[in-house]
Amino acid sequence: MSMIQVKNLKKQFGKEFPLKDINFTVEEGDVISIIGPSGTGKSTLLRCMNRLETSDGGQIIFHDKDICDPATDLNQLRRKMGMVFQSFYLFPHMTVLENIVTPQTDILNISREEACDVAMKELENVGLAGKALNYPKELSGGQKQRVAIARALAMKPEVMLFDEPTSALDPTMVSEVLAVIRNLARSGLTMLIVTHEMRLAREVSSKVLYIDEGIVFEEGSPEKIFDNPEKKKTRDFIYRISVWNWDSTVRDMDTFKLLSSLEAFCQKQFMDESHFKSCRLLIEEFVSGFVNRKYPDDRVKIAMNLGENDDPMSVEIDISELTGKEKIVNALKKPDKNDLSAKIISSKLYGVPEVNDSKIIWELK
Amino acid sequence: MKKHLLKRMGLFLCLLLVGGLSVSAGRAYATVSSETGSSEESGSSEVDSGETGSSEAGSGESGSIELADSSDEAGSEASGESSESGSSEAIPEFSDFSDLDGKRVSMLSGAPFSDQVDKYVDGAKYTYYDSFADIILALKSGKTDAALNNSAVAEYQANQDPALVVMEQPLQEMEFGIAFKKGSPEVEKWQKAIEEVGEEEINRLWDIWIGSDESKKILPEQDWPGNNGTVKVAIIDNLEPMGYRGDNESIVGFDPALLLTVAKQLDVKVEFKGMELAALLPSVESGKADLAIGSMLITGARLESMDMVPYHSGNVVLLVRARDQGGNATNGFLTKLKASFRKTFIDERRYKLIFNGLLVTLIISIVAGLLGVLLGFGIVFLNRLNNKVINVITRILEEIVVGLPAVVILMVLYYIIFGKAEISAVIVAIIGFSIMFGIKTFDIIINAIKAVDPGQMEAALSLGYKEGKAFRRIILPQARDIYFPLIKTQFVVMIKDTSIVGFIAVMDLTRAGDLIRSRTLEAFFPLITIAIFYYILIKLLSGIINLIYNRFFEGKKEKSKKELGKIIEGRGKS
Repeated sequence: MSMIQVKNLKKQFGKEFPLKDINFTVEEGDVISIIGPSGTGKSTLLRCMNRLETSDGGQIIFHDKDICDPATDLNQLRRKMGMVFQSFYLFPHMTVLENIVTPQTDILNISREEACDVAMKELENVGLAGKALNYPKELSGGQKQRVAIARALAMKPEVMLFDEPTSALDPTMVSEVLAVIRNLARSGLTMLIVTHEMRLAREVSSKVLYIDEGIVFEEGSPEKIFDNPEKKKTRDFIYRISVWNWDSTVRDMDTFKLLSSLEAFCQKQFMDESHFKSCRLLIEEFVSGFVNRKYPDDRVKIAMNLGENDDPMSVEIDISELTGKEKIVNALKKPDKNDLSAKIISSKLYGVPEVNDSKIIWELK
Repeated sequence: MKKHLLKRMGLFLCLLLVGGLSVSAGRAYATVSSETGSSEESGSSEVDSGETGSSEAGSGESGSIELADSSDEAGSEASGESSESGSSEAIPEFSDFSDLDGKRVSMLSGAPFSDQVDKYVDGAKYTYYDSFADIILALKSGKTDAALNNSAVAEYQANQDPALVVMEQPLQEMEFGIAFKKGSPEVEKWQKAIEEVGEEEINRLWDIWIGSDESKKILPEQDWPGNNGTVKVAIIDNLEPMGYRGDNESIVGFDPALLLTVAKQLDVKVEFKGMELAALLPSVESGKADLAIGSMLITGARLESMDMVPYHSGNVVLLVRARDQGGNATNGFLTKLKASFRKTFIDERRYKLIFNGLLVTLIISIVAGLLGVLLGFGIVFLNRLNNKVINVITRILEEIVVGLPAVVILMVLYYIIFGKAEISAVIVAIIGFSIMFGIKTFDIIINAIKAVDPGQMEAALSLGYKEGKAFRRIILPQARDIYFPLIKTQFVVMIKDTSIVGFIAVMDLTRAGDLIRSRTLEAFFPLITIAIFYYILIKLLSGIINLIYNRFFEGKKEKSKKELGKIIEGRGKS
């Protein structure tokens, strides 16, 4: 018998129907990633699981009982379902240890010593035993989230719900939290994770649910969803999150914004540092050497595609709407020895450039 | 380079400001505290001013001029050293009414004489003060040009201070009257009793109290049986020589003396309640007092709302500055300081006034503070019940407290809501301040709770907390960090607000200062003293609150932290 069965779940906010007819099952030990476009009700779905939101129709059967029934003992239910939030929500007026001990003594009615024991074990598991007597405000974002995970685990839940656990974190802190989640998944804990981190979804999930249009649009193993999605919409979504592009007029082109957007994307994909640097250099040189501010209405279109293993496959610059593109093509095909940008770009140092009338494409090494 | 310059300029301006303030303070102090004859002579006056004064004072008509002369003589003989510059030689700054055209004239709030002045003076500018002492100060420091009052008060002041002179011509010849509620049956009785006491006796009293022989100024004891009951009398308490605070804060003067004499005739006991002129008539109208007396001249306007019984003639005159101002007593600063100190604290044991006032302020502040906080928390809990009726009542109170000034709320409570009740003004003040402080506390706490991130409650619920427990353990402590400093600030504001209770006749620290000022005619010492006492009071109470809070709440936090620290240490060892 499945641990959790979600049947025809429906949720309405005013005129909006984020959840129309959600159906899926959760077996014990499953690690399910829930992905999908923003605002489609992924968080709402998760919050219906522990009744922080109440659905407007359908059933959630947990241990043979429908928890959407108004007679459900909510406090008991929530003890069995631990939740970790995007904004951590640690209690700021208590130390880290107290954050974890207090719910135990208040709700589970165990002694302070016992609760302390459990708390310290959980803190050790997330690597933060040394911060037990610190206050939350003294911790970094990644540390706070790890404490939040420890706090939820201390209640010995049967299911752990993660609502975009790394979305509020700096890319540099994401890995420490992902490591903890990876460990938990390995330990056999049943988990539901709403996430944008494709890497995590791919690595730890036993099942991926793609939610769109208020239903489970497509579901399957990570390989299926990420590499071989059946439906076009799914494919578009996966593509969208695995491609970086820039499309603006010359007037609106903010070079700093462009380069930092590129950097953020590369970090999210855990791209190799050297690959990222190659891409950046090529794009920087092109923009500074060949984009002419004298023609503010020209359009600049740059795209970077990822290949397998999230390594960049190619950088593509569309020059069809640039004034003087013939000159650019000539400069790159036969670079003048005094034109440094052209020399850099056309050298085979970073990638093999292919230049035609409308595009410049580098296959990256 | 520029920053350096700005700093230098800033420092220079600060020094200039401080210097300027101290110079003007010193100057104000010097002009205002010029030695007055009577205070030196308070115990030792030998001159019999009684006879010369009384025979002429009784005539009424041209009484003002003779009165001025006779009391001048009395004054100059009594003042010993300062007799050379005594009032008999002083020339008024303005000798004719026409000289006052366009000048400033001041009188007590509630005194209805601007029309009368307008008959003689063109374009006079009027200012109204709550106490005559304030008018005298204004006159001496040049903030006004003429002070209006009856001949008794004006002459008395001129006798005390060589820098002031009464203008020869009276504005109006009138009579003093006792005020009763319109249609009161008491009017006839008292009228008869006054006739029975007789003009001679009344004039005798007049001469005693207008004169400078302090030893004769003793009020009769209420030693008659009082078979006809007790009357509540509203009486002025800050206008010498009509009604003012003497030894042991009792109210003395011509008016109480006369009233007691008539009361004896009627065989009624008297309960005096002292207040300023403007509060006298409202007291009678609201029924808080049976009658009112206090340098009130009978005018047509007053007769429209009150019945008045005449008891002595009194002319309306103007008090102005003497022409030669030059030689103010130039005794050393230290001597002046010592004299001021004596006058403010020692004379007539005024330190008692101050301490009693301080006590009253303290009591009102602390009791209203405690009740207010309790009320505030109570309303918070009631509010969480989401009862419509409770919410409506709360909203009404909020609108009142936020929309009306504290002084208006207090007066409405005292004169209207508790108007007929036999309730002490201090209790009314405590009730008023408790409600105001309670509503403000409620507002602060509710907003502090709202300010706590709603995610905190979600996190608590997701762990399995029941909403009530989550509120107490998780939300409230965080709200407390927000509301405590805000409530503490409001408490300090309330302590300072209590300075208005004088408006409902409570003798608090500010009023004590007022009364001393009206007796000593000095501003500097009493005011500085009051200021210092308020400052110390506030600092002390704030400090105590901080101490209690830290001991209680922070102490708990520290204790818990240490306890857990020990547990994990023990764990480490095992």
